[in-house]
Amino acid sequence: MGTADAPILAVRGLTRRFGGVIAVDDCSFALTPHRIWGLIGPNGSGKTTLFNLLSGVLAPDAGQIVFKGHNVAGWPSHRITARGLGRTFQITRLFEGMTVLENMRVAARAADPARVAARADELIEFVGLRALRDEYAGNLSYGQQKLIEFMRVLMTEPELILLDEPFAGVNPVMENKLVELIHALLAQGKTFLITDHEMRLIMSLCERVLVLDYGHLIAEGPPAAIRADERVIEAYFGRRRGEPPSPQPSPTGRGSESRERDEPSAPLRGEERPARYSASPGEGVPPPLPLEEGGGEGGSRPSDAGGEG
Amino acid sequence: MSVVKLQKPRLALSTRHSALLLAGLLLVCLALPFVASAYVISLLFLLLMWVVMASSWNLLSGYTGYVSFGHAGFFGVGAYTAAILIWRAQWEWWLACLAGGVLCAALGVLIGGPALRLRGPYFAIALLGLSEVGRIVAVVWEPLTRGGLGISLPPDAELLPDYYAMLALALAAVGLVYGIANSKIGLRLLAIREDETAAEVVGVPTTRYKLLAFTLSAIFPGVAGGLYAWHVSYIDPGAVFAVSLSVRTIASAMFGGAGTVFGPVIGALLLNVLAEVLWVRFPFFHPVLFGGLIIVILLVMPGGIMALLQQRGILPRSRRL
Repeated sequence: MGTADAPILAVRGLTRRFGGVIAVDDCSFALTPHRIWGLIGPNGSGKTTLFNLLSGVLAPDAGQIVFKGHNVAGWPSHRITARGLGRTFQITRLFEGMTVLENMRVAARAADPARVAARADELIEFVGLRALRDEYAGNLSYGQQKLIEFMRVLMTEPELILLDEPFAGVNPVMENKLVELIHALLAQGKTFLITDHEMRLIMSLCERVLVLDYGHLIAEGPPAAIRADERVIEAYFGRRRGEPPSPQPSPTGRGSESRERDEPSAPLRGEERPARYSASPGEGVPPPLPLEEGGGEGGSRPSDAGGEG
Repeated sequence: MSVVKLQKPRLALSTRHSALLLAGLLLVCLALPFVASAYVISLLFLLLMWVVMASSWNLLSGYTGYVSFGHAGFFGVGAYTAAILIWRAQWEWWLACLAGGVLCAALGVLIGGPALRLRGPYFAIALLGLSEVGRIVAVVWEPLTRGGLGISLPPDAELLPDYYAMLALALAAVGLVYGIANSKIGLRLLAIREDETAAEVVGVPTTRYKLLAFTLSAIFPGVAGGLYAWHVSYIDPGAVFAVSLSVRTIASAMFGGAGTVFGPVIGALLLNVLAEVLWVRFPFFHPVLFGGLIIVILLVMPGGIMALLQQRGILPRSRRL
C-alpha cells in the first residue's frame, strides 16, 4: 500500500466455515482510510460472507478484524456499527412496513428528534426522493430502495462503508447518482469497500482492488495490475490449455452456492480448461481479462423502472 | 405483513378533537358504574382486564414480532402472588396486586434473557412451556398454594374499587403502549419485527430492546391476575394458568390489530363482548362458536380491524393509532 496512513481496517487470518465448507479461508488484508477499495471475485468466492463477518452478522471461526484499533471479531453488529462501520446488503433489507422517514430514523444515532429529522430529510432530498418520504419502503422501486438503504447507512455516521453490489439491478442514471454520492462522501473523509460484478464501474471507481477466490485473497493492487494478474484471470476464466495450474492453496470445499457464469462452468483447480479457451493463435483467445461491461461475470442486469424517483 | 397504500382518510381527527374524544370516553368509563348493575360492572371489569392483557401482549408480540403464548403464566403468577400475600400475610389487596406485578417484572428479566435467544415458533413454544411450568408448580407446591384445592380469599363486596383499579391499569397499559409506539423505542421495536438482522446492522441493540419489551409486557398481566384473584375471591391453577387465557389474549390483540395502539383495545372489547353474548345465548355451545369465530376472524382479517379501516381509507395511517 505504501502510505503513511494507519489502516482503518486490518483483517488477519479470518476464517469462517459452514460445516465442511470453508467460505472464508485465512483471509488477510488491510484498508487504508479515505480510499475507495474494491472487492471482486467469482460468485461463491466469499465476498458477502466476508462482509457479514466484518459487520458482525456472522462470527468468525478464527482470525481478527481490527477496526480503528479494536479487534471487533465476534462483536454484535450494533456495536460494530456504533464504532463507525456501516454496510448495505446484496438484496436490500429495508423495513418495508415502515415509511422511508421511519427507516432513516431507526438508524439515527443522534438523540435530538429535530436534528434527526433534519438529517433524514437532507439525505432523502439528496437522492431526490423527497416526495416518497412518507411512503412505505415496501412500495418503492428496487432502485429507490437501493438509494434509501444507502442513505440509511449514512444515518449511522459511519467512517467505513461496505457496499454489497450497490449497482446490481440499477439503471445507468441511478448508477451515476450512486457514483456521484460515493465521490462526495469520499471527499468528506469516508472510506469505502465496494463489491460488485459491474467490473467497469469497480475498475474505474476503485483505487485498489482485492480479489477473492474460494474464500482466499489471491490478489491485491491497482485496477490495471488486477486486470493483468494471471491468478485473477484464472479465477474467472479458468486455465488456458497446456498451461500448468497456478500454485494454489490446498483444495477446500466449495460453498453451497453454484457458480453462475456466462461461460461454461469453469474447471475446478487442477483440471484442464475446455477447448473453447485454447491459447493457440487464431482460435479466438480472449484478451487478458477485459472486464468490460457484460464481459464474464454478473449475467444479465434487470432494468430498474424507478428512475430517479 | 400487508403494506397499506397511501389514501386520504375519511376520519382524520385533529389532536385537539382526539383528546376531547378520549376525555369523553374516560368520563363515560368513570361515571358508568354509578348507573350500571352489578352484573354490568363485573362485565366491564372483565372487559378492562382483557384490554390490559391484549395491550400488554401487543407491546411485546405486536411490536417485536415475538409471539408469546405465555401471557397466562404471568397472569397466574400475579394471581397467586396476590392471593398468597392477602391470605397468609394479610396484605392490603392493592399492595398485593402491585407485588404480583413486581414479581412478574423480575421473572420477565430472568426468563427473557434466555427465551429471547429463540425465534418464531421456538419462542412461542418455550413461553407456552414456561406457563405450564407455572401451573404445575402451583399444583405441586401445596404448602404454599394449597395445590389443586386452590386459594379462597375473603369475599369482595365492593365492586367499584376493583373496577376503578382495573380501569387505572388499563389506562396505564394503553398509555405505555402509546408512549412507546410514538418514541424511538417503538420504532426500533418495529424494526426488530420487520428484520431483526437489518435492525442490528443499523445499530439497534436488539437484545436490549426485546428484553425491555418483554419485561414491561410481563408487569401488567401480573397486576391484572392479582386484581382478578381479589375480584373473584377464589383461584386454582387450572383457572389462572389456563392456556385459553393466552389464546384469548392473542385473539383479542390480533382481532383489533397487533402492532397498533388502539387495535388491541378495540379487539379486546369487541371480541369479549361477543364471547359474552355467545355464552348467554348458547350456554352449551359457546366454546365451539367462540373458537370458530376466532378462526374466521384470523382468516378474513389477519391484519385486524385497524388495518382494515386504514386500507379502506377510513382511518389515517399513523403510529399514534
